[in-house]
Amino acid sequence: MIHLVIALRCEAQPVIRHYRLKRDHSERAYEIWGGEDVRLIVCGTGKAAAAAATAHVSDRASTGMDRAQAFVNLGTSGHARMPPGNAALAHRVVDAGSSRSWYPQFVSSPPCLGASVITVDRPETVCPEDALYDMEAAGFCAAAWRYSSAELIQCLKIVSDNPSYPLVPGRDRHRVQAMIERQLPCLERLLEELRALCAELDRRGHWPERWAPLAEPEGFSFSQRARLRTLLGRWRAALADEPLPFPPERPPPAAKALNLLQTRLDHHGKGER
Amino acid sequence: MIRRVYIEEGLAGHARAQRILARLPHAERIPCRSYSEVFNPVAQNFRLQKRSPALILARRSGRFLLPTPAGYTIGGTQHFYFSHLLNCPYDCRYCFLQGMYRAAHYLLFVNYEDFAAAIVKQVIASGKTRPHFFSGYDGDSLALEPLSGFAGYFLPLFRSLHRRCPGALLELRTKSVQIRALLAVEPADNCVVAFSLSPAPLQERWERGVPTLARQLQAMRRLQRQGWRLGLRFDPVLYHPDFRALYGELFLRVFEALDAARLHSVTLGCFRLPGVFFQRMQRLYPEEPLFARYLDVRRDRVGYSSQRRAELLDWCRTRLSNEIPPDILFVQDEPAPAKAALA
Repeated sequence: MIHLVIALRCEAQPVIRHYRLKRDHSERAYEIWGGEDVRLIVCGTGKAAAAAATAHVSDRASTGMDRAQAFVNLGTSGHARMPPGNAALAHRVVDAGSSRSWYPQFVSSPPCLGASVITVDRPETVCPEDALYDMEAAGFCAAAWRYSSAELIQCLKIVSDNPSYPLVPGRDRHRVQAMIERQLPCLERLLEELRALCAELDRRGHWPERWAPLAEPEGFSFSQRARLRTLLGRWRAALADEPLPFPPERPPPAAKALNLLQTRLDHHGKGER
Repeated sequence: MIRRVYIEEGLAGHARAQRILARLPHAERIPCRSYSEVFNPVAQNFRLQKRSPALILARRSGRFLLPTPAGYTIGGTQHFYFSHLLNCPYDCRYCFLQGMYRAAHYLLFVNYEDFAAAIVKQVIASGKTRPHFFSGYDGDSLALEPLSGFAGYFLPLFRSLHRRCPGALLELRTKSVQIRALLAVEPADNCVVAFSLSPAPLQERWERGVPTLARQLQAMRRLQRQGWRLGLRFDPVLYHPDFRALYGELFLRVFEALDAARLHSVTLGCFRLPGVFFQRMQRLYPEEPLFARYLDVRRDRVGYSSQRRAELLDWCRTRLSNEIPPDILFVQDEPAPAKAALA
């Protein structure tokens, strides 16, 4: 599952259209849109709003305990020299208020240039450093880091203005939409890469279809379920296609099931059949 | 290919760091305050980062030399390791670094002068004993040589130490065939180039990116012909139902290619890990049979049962004793310390 966190509706609109996302009307706190493997949340302006929305969308995703989640903060930003319309992938995000930094990791060929992003509390018109200036990335990172790993957290920023080409708040909605629209291929490449990484992580926890009834077996406590998952993982790695010592659809009581698996795995570990 | 280089802000004018950057003109350069912001914070995935590790250029502080774990010896009286590089470009499924670090990036400490000062101080303190210094404990000593210039710096240092302390010895431990820097200079009497070797079928299965055994043996032969002292490291020895055939073939190929009489040392050690590293590695690769079979999993130590270890080591020892004198064979069977070198 990929979560897109976007500050403004006008920034989100081209993405909603492109991925034909459907509005989730059951959501009251946020405007959330969903598709096959993408969820988009319109978070509002500022790092606190971005952090709260990122946490919210992740908590509500219901992807299951072992499924990988990727996060993308898409939005516009200012820069001292970069021409409006250019896209950059954040390689460093700095919270101007606290000086805390995050380093999103990109583990293949990036879809566009990399840049530092400085998150400020008020719109920056001067842009004194060679960096992109935005108002959400640091809040987004602070929250996303709690739910996923640095390789699955990205900030894609599109330059909307610079000192010689300022943006007029409230009047440049169409210009922003057009800029995002032009960078959709870049977003698409980024999401493709994140999908591949999520798939790699999900594959490692993949079980044979016939074990599906054991995903949430009745009568197992939380810790017994965790132990069951560990033993089944070892079973898959060590014994591959050998049938389980009990039918998955009718497992014995928890303690007995765990004991049967453990005993067989121990015997196998000692080289016994 | 290194796509990203993180550089500590304090290294802006550092000559070695600049030389390394000049060799990576197309890599994206990202400043950071400290390497610890990028290397090893929580929420990093070693497995994903192995797809494209970045290089981190940093300055090491604190302790530059650390004592090796008990039993980690090749005949010296004192044993130390030093790590100018953490992690390596190869992806060996059994490697304990996967369990020790969260990050797969190459962390290169460029202040070689500080490592050198610590070594010189230790050599002076060691007097007439035989202090041995191991460089390939947390990474491969030579795999990144064209970039790091590590051997190019430390070989002259050990040459200069030879008169002061003839017993002092540097071990370069590698799986690579990056030997150009060694072939370009006279062999150093107090340096051992130690190659970690595995049977070809196991190498193919579990050592991604490592040069083939044939290429490793070719590189070793060239070094030996030039006069370099070589070490053989059969560590970890991996259990396999056909281990006799696999390791028998490996030993045959090795001793066909090399002059056993001129070897400096041979070490043997079974696959073993501190428990905490094993748990992390199993979480990274739950589908990996290597971590699910034949192992005695305990909280503090994971390895083969004592019976299986004895079976493996006795067989290997017997075979090796046909080729080499017993005084150069060392069995190292203690697990690496669970405490990370960075701690």
